[in-house]
Amino acid sequence: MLNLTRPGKPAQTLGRWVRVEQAVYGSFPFRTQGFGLLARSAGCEPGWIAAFKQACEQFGERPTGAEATGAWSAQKLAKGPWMLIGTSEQGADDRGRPGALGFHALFIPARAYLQAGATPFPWLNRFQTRWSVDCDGQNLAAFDLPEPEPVDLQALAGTEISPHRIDAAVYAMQQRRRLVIESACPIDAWIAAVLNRLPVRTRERLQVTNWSFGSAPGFDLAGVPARSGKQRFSGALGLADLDAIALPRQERARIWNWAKQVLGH
Amino acid sequence: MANVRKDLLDTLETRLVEPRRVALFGHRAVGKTTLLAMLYRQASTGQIPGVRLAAADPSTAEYLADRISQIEAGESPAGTLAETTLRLQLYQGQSRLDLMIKDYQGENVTLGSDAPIQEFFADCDAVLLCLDAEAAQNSTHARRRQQEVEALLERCQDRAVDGHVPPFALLVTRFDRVSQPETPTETQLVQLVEARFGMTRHALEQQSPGAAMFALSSYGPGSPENGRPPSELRPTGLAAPLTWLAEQLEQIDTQRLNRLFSLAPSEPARLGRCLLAFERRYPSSPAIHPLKHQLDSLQRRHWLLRGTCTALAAGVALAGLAGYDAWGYHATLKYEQSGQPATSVETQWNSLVAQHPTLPVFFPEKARLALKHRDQWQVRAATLRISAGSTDPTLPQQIQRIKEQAPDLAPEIARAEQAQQEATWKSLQVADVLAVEEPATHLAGVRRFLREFPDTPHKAAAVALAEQLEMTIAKREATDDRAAIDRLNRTMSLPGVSWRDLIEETRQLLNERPNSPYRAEIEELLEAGITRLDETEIERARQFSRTNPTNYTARREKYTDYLRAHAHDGQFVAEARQAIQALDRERDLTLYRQAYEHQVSHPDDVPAIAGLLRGYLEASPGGEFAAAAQQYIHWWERISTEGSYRVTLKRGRVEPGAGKLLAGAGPDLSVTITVAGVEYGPSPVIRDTRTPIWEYAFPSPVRWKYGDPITIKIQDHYWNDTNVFTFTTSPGDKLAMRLLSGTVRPVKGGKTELLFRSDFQEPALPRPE
Repeated sequence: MLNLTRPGKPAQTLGRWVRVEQAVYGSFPFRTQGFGLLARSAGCEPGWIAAFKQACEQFGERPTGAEATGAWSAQKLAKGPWMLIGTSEQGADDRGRPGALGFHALFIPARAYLQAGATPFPWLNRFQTRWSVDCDGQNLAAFDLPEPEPVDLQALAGTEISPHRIDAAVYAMQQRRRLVIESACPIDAWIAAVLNRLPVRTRERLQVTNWSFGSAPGFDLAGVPARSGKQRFSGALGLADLDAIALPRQERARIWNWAKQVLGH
Repeated sequence: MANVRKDLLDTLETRLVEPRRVALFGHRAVGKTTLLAMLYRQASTGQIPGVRLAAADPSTAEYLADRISQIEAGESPAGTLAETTLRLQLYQGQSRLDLMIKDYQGENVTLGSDAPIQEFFADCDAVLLCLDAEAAQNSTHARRRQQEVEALLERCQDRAVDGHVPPFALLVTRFDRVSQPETPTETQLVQLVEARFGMTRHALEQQSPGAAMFALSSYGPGSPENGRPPSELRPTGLAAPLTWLAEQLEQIDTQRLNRLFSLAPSEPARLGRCLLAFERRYPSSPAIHPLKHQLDSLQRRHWLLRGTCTALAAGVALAGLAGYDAWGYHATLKYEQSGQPATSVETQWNSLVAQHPTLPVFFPEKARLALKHRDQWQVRAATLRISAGSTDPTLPQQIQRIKEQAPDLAPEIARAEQAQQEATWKSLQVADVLAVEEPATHLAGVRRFLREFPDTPHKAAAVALAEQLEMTIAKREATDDRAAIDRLNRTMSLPGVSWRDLIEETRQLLNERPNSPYRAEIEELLEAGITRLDETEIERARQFSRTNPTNYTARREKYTDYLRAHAHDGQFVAEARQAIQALDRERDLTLYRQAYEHQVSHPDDVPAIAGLLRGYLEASPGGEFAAAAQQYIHWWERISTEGSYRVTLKRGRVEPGAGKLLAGAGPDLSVTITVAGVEYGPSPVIRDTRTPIWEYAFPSPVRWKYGDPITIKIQDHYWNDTNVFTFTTSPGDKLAMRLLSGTVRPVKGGKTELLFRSDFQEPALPRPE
């Protein structure tokens, strides 16, 4: 289950094949040490693992009733690959406490991430959710896979989000603002809709997560569970801010209408 | 060394002012999160007597509420993943402590871990050590956990601010799982700790004087074996740790404040800040009153010391200044006695007075003597300069000032003045060249000499010299005036002369020489020049009108220029005004005639006619035909866009042979109009006649604009509908609407005709006379 290297394929990245390193962190029923690094491939650098652990801990504490299944994030490591982390529920830990979480990290070379459209969506089906005691402390194998084609973001985005909100979110991303969206479920559609409207040069700097229980520091676009009280995310915009944003073209139209009124009088 | 002291003081102040950092230390699954949640649950609802806990921020409240709701729902809290900072307020009596506690992954306290939480532990103010009584039945596990405690103690010892490690409390969790009674006696607890956590007990006894031990159970008795909370929560032993924590923190703060007072008596501001924070936290503490007294006395001493230092510094500065003044005075005096030239000594005394403004304050007598010396040497220096022939324009003022301020120097001043007088007279006598070349300047010098030295023995000679110079100057001016008049006369006789320049030059001469003996002659020249200019300019306007009869604007401009230049004194003002009026009338007529003639020759070319009339209005807005032109332009503006017109069909006639066989007396006729593709009508059918009278007003107004074609159809409705006649406007007829305002007849002749009336009316332009 662990060795995902395609038989007969070279270990190095050749042509349109991509070498992906991986690591697993979390708390598992079969693991007696609690949260910790379960396994990693040999090519993972220490700095990547430290960043991976930190990202997992920043995933945050689960609010009552929230599920972590389907959560993922994409972060660019400094002078390194893109780190894509998939989160999965692992049931109870070795002490019988519920809510154990597993995190699977894929380290994608920056060039390959860019070639695949600079979005995390082509890689999401590579996350694994089930792990066994066989992996504990073992070296995972890095795997090679064909460079994926960019996905149809328009189809992923759907039509449920209002166009003004998407326009405002795109504008916020272009202005390098941080956007945290409170939602009842992961915000894949939001991320697809916003990335679909952005040029590649903007997409390749955006760090996104569809679901986080914490304040999602370092993410440009993040989804968090909606709570009853007002949450504070320092310096970040929320849905209410999006509705209040005056887009440049709206602003121009407003000024033009005002000018017409003045000239008309 | 100073930095080390300052760092220590800063650290003490930070610890006293900022929230208390409390470490909840324990390995994973020891029950830290549960303990925190249950402490908050019990202490916030008054179930722990004498103590109250409150969440200090929304995120803490939400975090603890989530955990409590899980426990109350019968679920164990999940293993903690993220490090979460909780801010709580602990109230005991009147004390109000702000606490900062962190919940975190218990895995991070494992031996050898360098997780960030370890830094927090090392700098904390109190430590609550959580050890699991049930898990400690396994001796290996117990030893490993105690080794982690040992490592923490070492780290705290290394970072101890004042040589003391923070107080430690050993919390034996899940005590109900190893002991039958719900509230164990101290002996039972000591026996259990000795048996299972002996290593920790020994370390705490040795290194942490305020250490304590508590047995507690967050869920209370009756919890199931699977670790889940029981249906009824009956926590035990939670009160004692909180009470211990409040007491210990107050004790530590008191010790730190006392230490700060002993270390920094010279910093009352810092002490004041810390004492204020302490008072807010423990308003009923007995330590406050004596420390306040001590602070008051320190502040008084501080201000006294500061005042003394300031006074001393000011005294030293004043003494230095006085010494500097005394030294300057004596140095100048010594310089004076060393036989230096008078000018150098004068400079020295001047410098002393300028550079020592405080000399009169410290040594008034010396300042007076210095001024006296300065005046004496100024007179001597002046005498020296006069005898040396150098001229200083400020010298008379200086001498006058000294004369007024130091009358005892009168003899010396008189000698200096005499020397100056002689020198000045001598210079006037020898200035012959100047007297020839610039007699006016020389005369001014003589007059100044007479003014400055009114009692001079050379007065008679000086007056004679002045009269001689005046005569010379008068002669020269007369000669110059004559030459200027001759030059002006010559210029006037030249062809193409610029009269304006000549007049300006003559006026300038008159202004410069108002008393010239030739004034009358200059005025005549001016008058002649003005007259010639008047004549020249009117002639220029006349000549332009003759050569450019159609250029009305430029012709008018010429006459206007003349009027502008000669409005008051011109001989031809009336002629110029008449010429302008005639020009205005002529231009008005010419421009209007162009439009009128175009209208007569091309009546359909309404845009061009309107354009010409617009030009006419721009040139002559108040012209004779302005109203008619305005009316025509308005009419053009109206017909150039689509407008509505009421049309009435009055009567008609068709050819005598018109009509069908067996049609009786005549055809049954109606009329339909089509304007720009829109059909109006048909009119009512008038039966059996070839000369129908309709008197019919079309109900819908006809929509027409300039250029729209019009078609009129006459139809016979007897038996079936047939066309009797169709009138169509030609493609070039832009004013087709005229058809519907009069009689319509075929171009090729015949008797067919229709008579219309409408509110479309073409304005008529009056004939220009």
